[in-house]
Amino acid sequence: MSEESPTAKRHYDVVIVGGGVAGAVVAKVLAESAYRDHKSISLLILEAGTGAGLSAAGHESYLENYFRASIKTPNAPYPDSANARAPEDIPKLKPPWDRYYRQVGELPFGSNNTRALGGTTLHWMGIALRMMPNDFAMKQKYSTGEDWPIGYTDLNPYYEMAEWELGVSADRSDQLLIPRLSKADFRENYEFPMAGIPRSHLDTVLETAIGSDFEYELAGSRYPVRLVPLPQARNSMPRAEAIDPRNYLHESRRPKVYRPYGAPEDPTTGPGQRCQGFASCIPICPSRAKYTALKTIQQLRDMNRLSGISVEIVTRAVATDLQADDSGRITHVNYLRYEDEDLPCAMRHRISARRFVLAASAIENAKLLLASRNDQFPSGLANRSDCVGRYLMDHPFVLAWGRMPSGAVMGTFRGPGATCDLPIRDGAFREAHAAFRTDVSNWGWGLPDGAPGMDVERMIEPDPFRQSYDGKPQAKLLQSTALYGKELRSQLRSDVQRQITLGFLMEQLPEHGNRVTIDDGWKDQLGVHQPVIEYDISKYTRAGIAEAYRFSKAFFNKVGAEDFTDHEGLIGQKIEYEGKKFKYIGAGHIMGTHRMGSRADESVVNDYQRSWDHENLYVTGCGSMPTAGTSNPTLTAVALAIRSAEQIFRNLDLARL
Amino acid sequence: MNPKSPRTYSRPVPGFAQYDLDVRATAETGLVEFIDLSVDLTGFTAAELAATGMVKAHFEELQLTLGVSLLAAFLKSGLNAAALMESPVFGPLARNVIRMWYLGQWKRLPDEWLGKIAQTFSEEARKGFDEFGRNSDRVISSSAYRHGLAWAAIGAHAPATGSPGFASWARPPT
Repeated sequence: MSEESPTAKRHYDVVIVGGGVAGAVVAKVLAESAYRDHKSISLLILEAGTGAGLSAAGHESYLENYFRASIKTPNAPYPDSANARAPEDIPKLKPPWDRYYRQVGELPFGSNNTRALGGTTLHWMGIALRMMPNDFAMKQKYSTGEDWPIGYTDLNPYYEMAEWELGVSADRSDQLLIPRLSKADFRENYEFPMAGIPRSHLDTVLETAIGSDFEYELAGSRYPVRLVPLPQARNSMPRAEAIDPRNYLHESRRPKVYRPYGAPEDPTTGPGQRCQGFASCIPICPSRAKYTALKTIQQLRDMNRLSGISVEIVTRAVATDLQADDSGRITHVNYLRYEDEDLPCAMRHRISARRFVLAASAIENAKLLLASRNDQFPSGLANRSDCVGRYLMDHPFVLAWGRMPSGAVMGTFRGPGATCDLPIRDGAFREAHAAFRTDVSNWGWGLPDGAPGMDVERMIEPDPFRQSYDGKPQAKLLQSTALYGKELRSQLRSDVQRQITLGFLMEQLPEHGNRVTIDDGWKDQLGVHQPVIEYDISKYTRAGIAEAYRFSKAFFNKVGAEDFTDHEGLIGQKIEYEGKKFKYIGAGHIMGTHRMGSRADESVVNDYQRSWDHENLYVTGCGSMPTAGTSNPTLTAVALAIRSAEQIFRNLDLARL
Repeated sequence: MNPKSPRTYSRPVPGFAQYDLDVRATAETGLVEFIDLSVDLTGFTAAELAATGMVKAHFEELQLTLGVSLLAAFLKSGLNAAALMESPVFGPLARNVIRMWYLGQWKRLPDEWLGKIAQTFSEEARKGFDEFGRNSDRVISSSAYRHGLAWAAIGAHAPATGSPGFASWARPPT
C-alpha cells in the first residue's frame, strides 16, 4: 500500500505538516537521532496531496500522464486534486483566475510547487548548489538586501550532511572553480558522496569555443568565464574513500561506503543506481536516479522496524489551522482528510503534539499561519512581526538562445538538463544590480522555443501561426517552402544540433510588498484558503536582467553563435527596463515568506527556524531564507532542516528505551 | 464534440474486439499506400518505420479520425508527396501525417479546411470524418510520443522514454 490511513493515535512527540523534502528530512534526523541515543519517538507527517509516487504502479501512472501531456510542464505528471490544488504551471494575472493562486500584484508570480507526497522534489531539476558565502551577508557587504542570522561557516557542516542525505554527485575541485569560492569554504577532508556527473558533449564543445582567456567585466572587475560542473542530487559513481558526515546516524546505520539509493520500492538495485540519461529530470526521472523526497519517506517507513521508532505518514490530509493556548504554546493542528480527490467531502481531525513543524512550502506555511488567526493572535500565528507571507522571492528565470555555426553537432537533448553553469555569482556589482547564475542547457531550444516540435512545425508549414497559434513566429527562422521527407529529416537534425540556450536565474531581493495573503472570498471546495499573491520585480533585478542579456551577447559572440533570443517569443511574462522589453518565467524557487532573523520584531523565526512567538513551533523550508542568492534553494533548505531537527531533538526530552 | 456513432460504442479502445474486427475489414483500403506515403513524407525508410512498431497504429488512427472514405481519397489521390504538401485539400492531412510520425501529435484540422472539404467531397465521401471526436490538438498516445521520429532524426530519444546509459551524454551523438 502506498497510501496511508488516518491515524488512530491522537498525540505525538512531533507533528510535521508537509511530506516534501524539508519535512521528510526533519523527520529522518529526529528518528535517526532517537535511535542513535536509544530513545523512543513518535512522529506524524501530514501530507495534503496523494502518495502515489511511492509505488511502482503510481510512478508508472505519473510517467503515462507525462507522455500524454501536450505541453510537458513541471506538474504535468502529477494529477491535480480539487482538495489540495497545486498552482498552474502558467500563471494568470487576470480572470479567469488560476485554479489556485489569485494574483493581485503588478506582475504574475511565475513559480509553483507540487502538492503530493515527495513535494516539489518530484519535479525539481536536482541541482544542489550551496549558496555563496556573501549571499548570507548582503547588507553588510553590499548595503542591500538583508543579513542572515547565521553565515556560511555555520551552515557548512549542515551542507555536508545535506549533500549526503540527498546523495549529491560533485567534485570538490570543480566547485573551487567558482569565482569567489575558496578552499577554506570546504572542510579539508570533505568529499561529496559520489563523483561528479560527467559533463555533456555540449559542454565540451562550448569549452573549446570559449577558450581559456575569456573574461567578462562587471562594475569594473573582470571575471573569468568558464564552464563549471554542477553538483547534482542524482546518482553517479560512489566514492569509496568518502566518509559519511551525518552524525545523527547510529554507527550501525552509517555505511562504510556510500550506497546510492534508487527507486523507493527497490532502492539498492536497478537502473536508479545511476543516472541513465533519460533526459527528463524536470518533471520526472523514470529511473529514480534523481533524488526525490519519496526516497527519504521510504527510509522513514522502513525505520518503523526499529524499536522505539514510530513514523506515521498520512496522505490526503490538509492542515487547516493550528491552535495555541494562552501562553502561546501550540496545542493542536486541525486537518481535513479526504478520500476522493475530487469530491468536496472530508473528515475533520485534531492532533496534539509536543512540537509542531511546518514544512508545507513557503506559500503553504505562510497561508497556514495566517489562517490560524484568532482573538489572541488576530494577524495570524507567529506573526507579531507582520512578516508572515512577506518578502516572497523567486529567481525570475530569463532565457537567451542562439545557434552555433553551420555544421556544429552539440548533442542536444541528451543527459540531465544542465551539467555545467557559467558562474559569475558574486562581486561588487551586487551593490548596483542582481547577480545571476547562468545554466547551460543540454536540451537545445526546448524551453524557450519548444524544440524540436516547433522546428518541425516551422519546417512543414512555413506560416504555422496563421491560424491557431497565439504567439508570433520568429521571422528569421521561417522557411520559404515547406520541407518534408529526407530534406526535413536532415534539416531538423542539423538545426537542432546547433541550438544552445542560456538560462539566467536572477537574484531577487526581499521586498516588503511581495507577499502571500489570504482572503475569505478565495477558498477551495473544502473551505480552505487559497493563496492571494502580490508580486513585482524591482529595478535591482531588472537591471540585472539587462546585464544578463549583455553577457549573453558577449558569450554568443565568443563561441560563434548567432543570437536568436526573441522577447516576443512563445513563453513568459513581459517586463520592461529602460525601454527594453524582456520576458521571465518562474524558476520554482519559492522563498522568503517566513524569514529568519536575529530580531523578533523583523523576522518570523530565529536561526533554528523556531517561531519567535511560539516556543514549540518550527517553520521550515525555503520560506525561512532572508535572501535568495543565486543557488537553487533546496540544498540550503535541507541544510537548515537538519540544523533545526538537531535543535528540536536536543530540547525534546524523550523517554529512554 | 458530440460523436454520433451508428455503432454501439462511442469511443473505440484498442484491444476491444469489435474495434479490431472493424480495422481488419478495412485494412485493404490503403495500408500499403500509407506506408509508401509515410516513407516519402518522413524521410525514414519502410524498415525504419516498421521498427517503431507504429505503422498499424498510425494507420488506424487516421481511419478513426478521417473516416475510411476520406482516408482512401487521400491515400489514392495519385499525387506525389510534393504535390500533396502543396495541395489546399490534402496539405493539412500530409502535415498531420508528418506530425503523427515525428511528434506523436495530431493538430486539429481547422474550420477553414473543413469548409474546403465540404465543397470538394460529397457527404458520402466524408462519412465517418471525426466520428469519434478525435480531431483535436493532442498527443495521440504514449507510444506515439515514445516513438516520435523527430527525436530519432536529431540523434536522441523522446524525453523519459530511452535510457542510453550513464555518461552517454558525454559522447558525441550518433
